Amino acid sequence: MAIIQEISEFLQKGRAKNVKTLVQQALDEGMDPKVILNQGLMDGMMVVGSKFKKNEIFVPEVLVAARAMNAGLTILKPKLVEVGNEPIGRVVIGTVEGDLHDIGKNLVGMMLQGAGFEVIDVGVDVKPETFIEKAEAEGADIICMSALLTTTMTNMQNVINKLKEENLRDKYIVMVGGAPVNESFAQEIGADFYTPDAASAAEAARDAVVKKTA
Amino acid sequence: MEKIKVLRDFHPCIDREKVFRQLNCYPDSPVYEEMEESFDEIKDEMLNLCKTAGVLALGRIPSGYFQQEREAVYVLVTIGQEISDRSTQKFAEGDFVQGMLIDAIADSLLFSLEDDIQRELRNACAGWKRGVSKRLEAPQDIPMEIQKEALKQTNAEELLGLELSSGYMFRPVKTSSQIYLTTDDEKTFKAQHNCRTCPNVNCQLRHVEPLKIRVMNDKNEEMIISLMDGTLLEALQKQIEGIQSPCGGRGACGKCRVQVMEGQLPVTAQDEKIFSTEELAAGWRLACCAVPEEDLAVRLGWGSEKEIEVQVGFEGESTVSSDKQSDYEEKICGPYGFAIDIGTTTLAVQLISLKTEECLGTDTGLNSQRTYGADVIARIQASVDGKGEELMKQIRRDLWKSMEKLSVDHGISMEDIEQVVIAGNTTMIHLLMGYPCDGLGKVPFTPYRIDEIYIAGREVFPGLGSRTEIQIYPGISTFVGADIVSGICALHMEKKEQIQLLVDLGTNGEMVLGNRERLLVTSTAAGPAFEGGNITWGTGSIPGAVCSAHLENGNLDIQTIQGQPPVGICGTGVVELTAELVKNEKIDETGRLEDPWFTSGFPIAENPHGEQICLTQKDIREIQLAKAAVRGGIETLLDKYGITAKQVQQVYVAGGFGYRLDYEKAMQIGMFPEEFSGKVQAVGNSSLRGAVRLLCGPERMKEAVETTALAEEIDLSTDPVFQEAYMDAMFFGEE
Repeated sequence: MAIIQEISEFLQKGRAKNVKTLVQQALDEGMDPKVILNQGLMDGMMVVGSKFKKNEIFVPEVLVAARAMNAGLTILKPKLVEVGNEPIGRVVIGTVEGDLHDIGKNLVGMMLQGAGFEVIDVGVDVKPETFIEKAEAEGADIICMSALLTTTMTNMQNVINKLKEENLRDKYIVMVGGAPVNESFAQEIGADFYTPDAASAAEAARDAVVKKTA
Repeated sequence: MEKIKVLRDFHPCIDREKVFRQLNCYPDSPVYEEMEESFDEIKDEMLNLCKTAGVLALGRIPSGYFQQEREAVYVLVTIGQEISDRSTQKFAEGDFVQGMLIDAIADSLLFSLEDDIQRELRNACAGWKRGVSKRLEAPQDIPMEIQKEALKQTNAEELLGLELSSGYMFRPVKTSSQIYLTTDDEKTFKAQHNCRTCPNVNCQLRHVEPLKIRVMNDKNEEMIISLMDGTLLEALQKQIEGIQSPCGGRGACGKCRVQVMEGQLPVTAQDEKIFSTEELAAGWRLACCAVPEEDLAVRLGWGSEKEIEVQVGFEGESTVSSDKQSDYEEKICGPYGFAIDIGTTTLAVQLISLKTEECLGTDTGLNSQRTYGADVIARIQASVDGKGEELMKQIRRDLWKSMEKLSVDHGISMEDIEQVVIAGNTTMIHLLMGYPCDGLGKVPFTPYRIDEIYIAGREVFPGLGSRTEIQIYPGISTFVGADIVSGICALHMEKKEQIQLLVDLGTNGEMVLGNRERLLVTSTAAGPAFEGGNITWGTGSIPGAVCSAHLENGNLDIQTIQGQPPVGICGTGVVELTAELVKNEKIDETGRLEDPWFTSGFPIAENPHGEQICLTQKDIREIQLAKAAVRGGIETLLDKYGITAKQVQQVYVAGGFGYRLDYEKAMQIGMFPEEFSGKVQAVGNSSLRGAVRLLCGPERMKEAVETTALAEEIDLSTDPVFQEAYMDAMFFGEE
């Protein structure tokens, strides 16, 4: 079990090479890939996320850790497919129509991946129908929307309206974020969650799917 | 000269330091080296991918944006889409480090074009014989929709291949759009980005030079302070002692008013609520809401609290004379101690010889926590909002300053200080000790800790001697704290046979009734009126405050503290003025001021700036509420005790306000029952005196603990007797 602990710790320090080696070693020792994922990689990422939320670390540390996680995942993935591991949920994420910024959205996608989600990134300037079509096609649990301007954040409402029109609103958890977005705006447009940063978004998403499936 | 100019002469560069700053990555970061490696790996490639292009056009801002159509220069500059695409790609590949770095590098490249843009703009404007009067930033200065015009008038779609999204964002996403209002005055060129007014305050590239504010006080002394960011009040409070903000900077009380003498300070919504149109035109603004954007000269509208009178004397015992001042010829030897009273507004520290109980020296000052608001509620709120540590540091710093001063003045080493005794209300003790205040602010108002405290001196004040101990009196509840217990002990209330009443007149009027058999305690929400709060021209007891009044045959005689020219009205002034107005029937039984003063307020005096100080109808309502709260509390205690006002043999009034109050007048307005006549004694600072007592007789702590056990607290808020007495006491005249 010590090796799992080590994976988590190296990941927190962002040591991609060590993480890779140890994941391979754990697999060679016949360890369950699901355990390596959940108790090694995801556990490490969770620690990083909570430290970030508490301002103990900054973005660069998170990036380096997430990169290390990704390195571990590339080795682990084929094995996970073999044992039929399901992600904890599927997320369709994108920047709303009219808005071209993608860095915030990318960071949220990164943290969601780190929390065990399969992330389907539909890019920027995404039309409401695209969000919904993709979510339907991929069997998503969550739709995540980002906007950087007050002029574009209103387009989040359009996606929610369209979901309602198509009687799909209850099927998805809708999360919103971005510089001009806040809690009261999220409530006003009828989104399920607003989170102020990427780490909180991942946490909220995980809690939400756990509650949904429970 | 052509109206549209394509720009080609750019010198993009990557500012490594700015990139790392934008990412919050500093050399002490554990991943700094790794980030540096990544940076070095990609920076050359990024310079290659950077495809700068720009266009500049003299055009118009159509009517609808401003009152009329305006001429403007539009500038669009981009570094191309390839870099952004590379960032997106890196994220998709899971190389988040490079993805993020590339985005920051792209920003750095775009910002590095600023010098080139300014140069081209200057040249172009010279050609067009125009100046620049203002740089417009979207969306704060002009709606985002203006980007449509920027694209159209520069013809950038055709010339640079730019596109605009339905949300008015350019593609490539790393494009800078700038709009400059022109002027015919070629010498004017205000084209720089102003970080100070830019709403993107979290921008890592923000750079703001401090502003210079010239400040004139009420004595026409001039000071210069600097303001980096935040409100004018914050800057004033940090740099000048005694600046008032009773409401804690919420824009509610109007006591931080300043008059702008030079420069411009925009009118805020709160200014419009507090000031008349004439006052606004005369430059009056609330410092707490003012966010200056340029250098200013202002005049302070209110007297400084710096010279507020702090009550340290004590006159509770007829047998013992008040504090003896030491005779310097006579050598007094150690050990010594400090007695401390922490008030919500003021602080008092005394250096005491433990052998002789003599006071060697006194230092008083203001509680710096006032910046968070005048009353305990505001402090509790601030503490709950995460300012607890700052509040703790402030009070410790204030007290330490006084202790150091006394020890230096009297040549006494901190090693010779054996004891420190502290008294203060429950909130003040919580803040001093750094206890959580959540329980103090909400039902059922549970203190974190209320019993007596013994602690090594160095744990609170690291500069104290190694053997110094701190003792803090126990309190009774959130509302009746260690200061009142200290006062009871100072007056020996718990030892006497006769029935006594102690009233501490402040924002929370604490009261104790009884004798050695039984003590009832309570606190009544008198509000800040007795300290001049919530009173239009109200002020603390500072020099120039109207403190006493006499009205006869329409002639008003007033006195001010230290005989200074009038600046406002302090608590006793408000009570005396009200009593005089009632006596002269200018105020009727219900508290209504006679016309025409009902609307204009009753004129009291002119301040040195020629402004009329008056007592308004609203002020009288405030004093009615305050005095009714006090009287209601007294009546309820009497009722619970089963006695009448007549049976009370001795009334002690503590606190600075009580010390200067004319009790005949207090009875005239119904604050005290008339049966108290001849029995009232102003005792001064009984809390500080109690601290001295404990300092010189450690066994008194046991008595204090027994007193808290003896005390029974009455909760007025739910008591029907209080409700009725409070309503009855609201009016003036015969009962």
